[in-house]
Parts: sequence; structure tokens; C-alpha cells
Amino acid sequence: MTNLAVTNTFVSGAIITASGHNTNYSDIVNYINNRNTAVASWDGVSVASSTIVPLTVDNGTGTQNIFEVLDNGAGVLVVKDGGYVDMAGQPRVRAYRSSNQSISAGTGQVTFNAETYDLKGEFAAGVYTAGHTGLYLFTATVAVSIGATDVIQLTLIKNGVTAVAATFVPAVSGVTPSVCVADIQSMTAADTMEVSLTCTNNMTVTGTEFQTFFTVYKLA
Amino acid sequence: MSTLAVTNTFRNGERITAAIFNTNYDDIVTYVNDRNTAAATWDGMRSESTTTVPLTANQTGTADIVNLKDNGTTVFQVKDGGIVTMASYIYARTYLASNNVRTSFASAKVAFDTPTQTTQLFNNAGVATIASAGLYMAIANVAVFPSVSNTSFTLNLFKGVVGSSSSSNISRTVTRKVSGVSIQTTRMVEMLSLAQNETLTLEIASNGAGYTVVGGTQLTYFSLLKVA
Repeated sequence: MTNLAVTNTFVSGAIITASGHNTNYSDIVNYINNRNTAVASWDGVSVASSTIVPLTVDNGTGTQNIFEVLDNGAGVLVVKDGGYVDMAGQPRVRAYRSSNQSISAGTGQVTFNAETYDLKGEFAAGVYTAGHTGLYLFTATVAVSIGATDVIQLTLIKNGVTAVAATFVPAVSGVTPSVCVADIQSMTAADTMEVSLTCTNNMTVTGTEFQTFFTVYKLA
Repeated sequence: MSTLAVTNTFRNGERITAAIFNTNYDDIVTYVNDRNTAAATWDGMRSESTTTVPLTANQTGTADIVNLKDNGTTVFQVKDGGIVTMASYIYARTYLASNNVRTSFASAKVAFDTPTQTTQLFNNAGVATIASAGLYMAIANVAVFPSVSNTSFTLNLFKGVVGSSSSSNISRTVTRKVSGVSIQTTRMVEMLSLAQNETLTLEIASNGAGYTVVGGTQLTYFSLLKVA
């Protein structure tokens, strides 16, 4: 905490000098001006108004950032010149299957076993666990080898109970179809999401980073 | 409004005591420090610079970094670690509750009839009306069961305006033909720039005979989120 303090407290009966005043005024001027030029920082700022916009930030004709939000010095949200917003701290995951995975007839979890990124460490053992309540975008794409007459279902499973979204694709002989699913879901902290495949026959999931993957992003 | 004021105004010819000076200094110090610690609020703040970043908020502990409030309710929050939460997002989701049998292949509206979110854009007939202009992410998933093999399906997204009967097809997704008769999903993922009072309606068409649109919140749904 760095609060304003003036150097001199005057004592009754003592001579009050001009320099004593000047020092105190300098204390005040320097304190305020250092915060006006951002040489020093306020410990906290709260702005409230019921009539005017409480907080306005303008970078004028400059090209520097307009607003920087830092977590212990590291930028986590930046409003750049022109209004572009970077949210470097927003939770995000991209997991993928690095090697082929066999899934027996019926339903089985797609075990994404590698990560392209997982900013907050929220993905483990094929399961995403939301660290914070909010609105999330989920997508999953799975390349799978199945029989020519098989029909498969790709499902997002929330909290291990019910499919939240599902898709089906009939197989075509001689190709490895990709199935994908996407939805926006409201999640409470500690909610989980995972991906499963269902087929009446055995399946082989193609394990490559660009064909079989699961992405999560906190939208709001 | 709570502006800075000092207690004592000096007058020519009057004796000025140490206590009077000290009181005025205390007025200034208290006013500034109450705002430095956020014990009191500024009435307004405008930060402007063409050379330095006008506003920087740095949290060195684990408290929230930024809270924006509307009459005391937090509407935008940057938590420790940079996690952004926007409490007042516009998000709507609706789904088709039960199967809908189509005897014609012609393009016809998917009558999503069960909105599920508090913030509603969809009516019970599956038409979304935009309440706030902006950029929207749209995700639609429609499960169908064709009556014959080699059927392909087309999703058409139409945009109109409240009060007008005309609309235009602004997005189209076509699925491939399928040998055999089985349930399949058609899907659309889009980013749309939409104005207030514009409407969205999703239609589906096939190239063959009749089919069934399969109902269920997991299978046939339409999600709409304002992202900017």
C-alpha cells in the first residue's frame, strides 16, 4: 500500500514556515502527478456513477494498447489499438489422439492422450473438467475406420450421465470418415465433458493430431 | 458526487493556526487515500494518452483483477489468472422435442419448439429474433432419417426482418448422399453479422422422398451466441 502522506504536521505555537508548506504541497503534487503519468500506480480504483460513463479509456491518435490487464505482471487481457481484444488467460484445450485406438462394439470413450494446448491444466485422462462457471464452446472431430454398413454416433457426455450432443454418420466402404460435433454449453465449475463413440461393431479411431481432436474454449 | 473540498478557507487579516493547516492537509490526504484503497469511489475517470498505455490494472495477489458492475451486479469480470467471465451474454438454445415426419422433400422450416435458456431469442416456432446487433456464432444440428437410400440433405439458414414476409438464404450446408437408410446428422457452424430485429429461420430440404426429422435435445438443436 502506498498512500499519500505529507511530510510536515504543524505544531501549535511553532513557526510555520513557507518551506514546510512547500514540502507538503510537493508531496501532494508528486503523488497525484506520478499516478497521472502512470509512473506510480493506485493500489485500487473504484469508479461509480449513475449518470455518466464511469470509466473511459482513450489512446487518442497513438497506436499503443488501450487497456492492459496484468496478473502479476503478465498480460492476460489486452485491448489493443483499434479495439482488438486478446484474452491470453482464457481457458482453452485442444487434445488429440496420438495413436490408433480400438473401441469394441458398443460405446467407448475416445481417449485423447495428447495435448496441443491446455492453458489451465483442465484436461486429463480424456476428460475436461471446467475450472470456472461459464459458457463454453465444445467441438470434437474423430476419424474412424468402420464397416461399410456401420452407423456410428459421436457423443459429448456431460458429467458422465447423458449425451449432450450427438451425431451420426453412415459409413462408406473404402474411406475413413470423420465425424464431428459442436455445441455451446453452460458449465458449472467442476462439470466434466468427454467424448464417446458408439457402434454396433468394432471401431478403430485414427490417431493423428489433425484428424482426431477435442477442443474447448470458455466463451463467457 | 463527492468532490474534494478542504475545510478551511483563509481570510486576509485573520490568524491562521497550525491546526487549520493540518485539517486542510488531512482533508486532501483522506480524500486521496480513500480512493487509492478503493474505500471511496471516483465519480468518473477518463484516461487518455497518445504515448503510454492509458489504463493498466495489475493484480499481484489472487483477488479479481477487474470487476465491471451494473448497479452493483458484476457483468464483466477478469479473475486471477486472466479468466474472463461475462455474466450478461446473449445465448439462446432451442431444440425439436419430438419427431417431425416430412412427406415432401421441399425446403421447410425446422420447427424448433423448446427453448432452453433464460435469455431467449427463439420463439416456440423456432424463429430467432435478434435483440441486440452484433456478431453471432450459430451452431445447428439436425438429425434426419430418410425413407430411401441415396438421400442428401441441405440446411438453409434464412434471414428476415420482423414485420416483413421476405427473407433471404444466407447460409447453406449440404450433406453427401448416403447409401442405405439410417439416421444421419446435418450440421451448420456459422458466424453471422446481425442487426436488431433481424430474424433467423433454419430450413431443411432433401433430394429425395420424405424423411423424418428426429427430435431430441441431443440431436436436433440450434444454439446462438452473441460473441461481439
